[in-house]
Amino acid sequence: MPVSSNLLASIFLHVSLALLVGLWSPMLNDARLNDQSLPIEIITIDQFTKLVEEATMPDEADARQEAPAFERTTAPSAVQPDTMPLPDAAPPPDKAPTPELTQEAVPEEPRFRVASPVPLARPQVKPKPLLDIGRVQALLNKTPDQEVSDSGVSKSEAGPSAAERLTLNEVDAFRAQMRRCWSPPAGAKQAENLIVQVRLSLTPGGAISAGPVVVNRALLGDPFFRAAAESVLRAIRRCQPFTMPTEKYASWRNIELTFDPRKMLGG
Amino acid sequence: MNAYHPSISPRRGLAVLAMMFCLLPIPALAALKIDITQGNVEPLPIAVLDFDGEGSVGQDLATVIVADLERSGLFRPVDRDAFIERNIGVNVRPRFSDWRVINALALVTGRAVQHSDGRLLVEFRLWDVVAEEQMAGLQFFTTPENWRRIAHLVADAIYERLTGETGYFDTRLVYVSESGPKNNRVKKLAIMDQDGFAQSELTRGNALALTPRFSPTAQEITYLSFYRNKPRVYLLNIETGQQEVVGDFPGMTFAPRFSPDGQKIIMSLERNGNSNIYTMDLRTRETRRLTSSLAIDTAPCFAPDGSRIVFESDRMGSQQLYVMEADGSNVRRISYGEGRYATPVWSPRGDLIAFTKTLNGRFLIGVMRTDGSGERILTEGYHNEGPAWSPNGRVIAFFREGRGENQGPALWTVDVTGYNERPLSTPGWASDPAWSPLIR
Repeated sequence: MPVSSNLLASIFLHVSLALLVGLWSPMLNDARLNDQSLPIEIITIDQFTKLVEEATMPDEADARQEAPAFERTTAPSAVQPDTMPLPDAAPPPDKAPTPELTQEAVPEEPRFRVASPVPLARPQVKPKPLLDIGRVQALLNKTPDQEVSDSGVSKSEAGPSAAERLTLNEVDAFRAQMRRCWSPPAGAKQAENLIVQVRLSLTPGGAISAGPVVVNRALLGDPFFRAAAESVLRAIRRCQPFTMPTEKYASWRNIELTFDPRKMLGG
Repeated sequence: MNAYHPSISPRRGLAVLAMMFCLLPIPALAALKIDITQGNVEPLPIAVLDFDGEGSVGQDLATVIVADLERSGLFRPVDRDAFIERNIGVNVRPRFSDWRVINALALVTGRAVQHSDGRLLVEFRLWDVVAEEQMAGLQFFTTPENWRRIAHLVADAIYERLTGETGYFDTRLVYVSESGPKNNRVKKLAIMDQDGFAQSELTRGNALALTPRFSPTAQEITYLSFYRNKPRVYLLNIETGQQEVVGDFPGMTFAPRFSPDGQKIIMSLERNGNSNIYTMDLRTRETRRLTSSLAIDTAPCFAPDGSRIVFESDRMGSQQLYVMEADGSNVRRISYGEGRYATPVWSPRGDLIAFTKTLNGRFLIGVMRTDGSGERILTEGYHNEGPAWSPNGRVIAFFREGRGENQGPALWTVDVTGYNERPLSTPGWASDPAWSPLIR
């Protein structure tokens, strides 16, 4: 019967999807952690120049962010006075309001263009990654096999046993540690866009062993999000080592944190 | 990976998904997921070293930068007495551990040198002390007497990099400088840098000057002058001192503001006791009437994209805020709270409208979303009035006046969060501030 064969195909595909997601999503997470060394993967010109600078002349480096050089033009010519009645005008202020000013970046020496420690192109715009991990992750998050409890703690099915799981008190203790270090971007526009997800691995002593890495980094092109993400990374690095129950190391070795400022900022 | 597309069939999508997973390395354990929704909003501790340089200019630059950052309320400059590492060249990586010990999260190093052509070269680097990496590095050339502006530009660059918002330190404010007894005040226009330096007067005070507003695109202001006791809207070029009347209207014009592109003035025209809203194109001199009610429609202000206009009106009895399209259509009331609402000002960021609210005999400054929801009062007191946004939409300047006979108004600023309320120092009494766009 055509219906049942379709049904079978459907069941087979759903089971395959569940298996793939259940088994591979943690693998994906961990693989990314191990692969990461830079805190943020967007390659800015700053970082590029810094890398080049370290590679070439550690003490005499003079590489700069290539700021758009702009010339200050003189003031636009004033509106010519006409015959209308004028109120009293004082002479214009002594200080020239738009003084001549130029902002110039140091032109890059040819020697800085060679010997980069990592094979980096010189991006004028944010490079588009071939595989957008953020999108894959978004796809995974929509699958039904991840339970999210009311406490905001969730585990995938491949997680540790019940005895190894952190209690709510232990999770709260971790949150309290983070709370002291994290300064959310108060007053920023559209706080709902400033939810930062990061992943990191910890040593048994609670220090960072890998990461932290921004997961939803597709947003890093936005300066507000970038600033928010950097404040999260600073908070995590500053806060370590975290005090955690050593006997449950297996359950907190890899952590994914979602920093959500909306409640605090009334967004 | 370009085979992956949202519109492909589920089966093929699954195949592509499986293929993508096959490209990834092999796995370990699950990650524990925790939501962090509480933090501790506090200013970012930043250390600013005196810039290297001959004479006092290096220290002067650092002092102005520190003052700018501190005044914003978003930064807490670390006391320089605490510094362990004191002499770092601008081209040397700092010893980050020395800065972590004193709890600095960001560090600024720089130098100022006289170039061979006589110009001053100022360069700086902003370091992330925790991540141990450079966040920004820029240099500026200028004539030596412009060093204060360079300091503001450096502070802007630091602010922008660390908050994601555009800076506002390289800006100025125009305000009404007041003197004399309450019943016979002399009111002149004056201008200063946003930190209160470089004060000077723009008008002599023979005619009453009120409600100055900056052009968003030029060093020009529009304001109301009672020349020969006739209130009319004027344009004043700050650099040349030249002025002109805006339009030749039969009645009294007031409450002027520029359109976001600087090409039009929007204002009220009063005739026979009722006032309506008009725009005038500054190039073609063409005027256009936008409202035609029998009520008092005034204090119009464009949204930053020019598509809508907020204004105050008593058309339904009490003074309330209304929004309409730029052509005057689709008028709807947005304020429904207790009290009367006036002087609406659309944030340059577009997300909020600031206003003055009168409630139980007190004057409050508040903000609401552009649909009227989310009203928040930022400051209150006997008399607070005249909100003006910083060009980045983060800070509101306003004036506050005490109750007494010999009291005069003074300028204040408050952060859009309602925190960090501070006085802005002026030589005398001051009211009705107007914030310039970034000077660049």
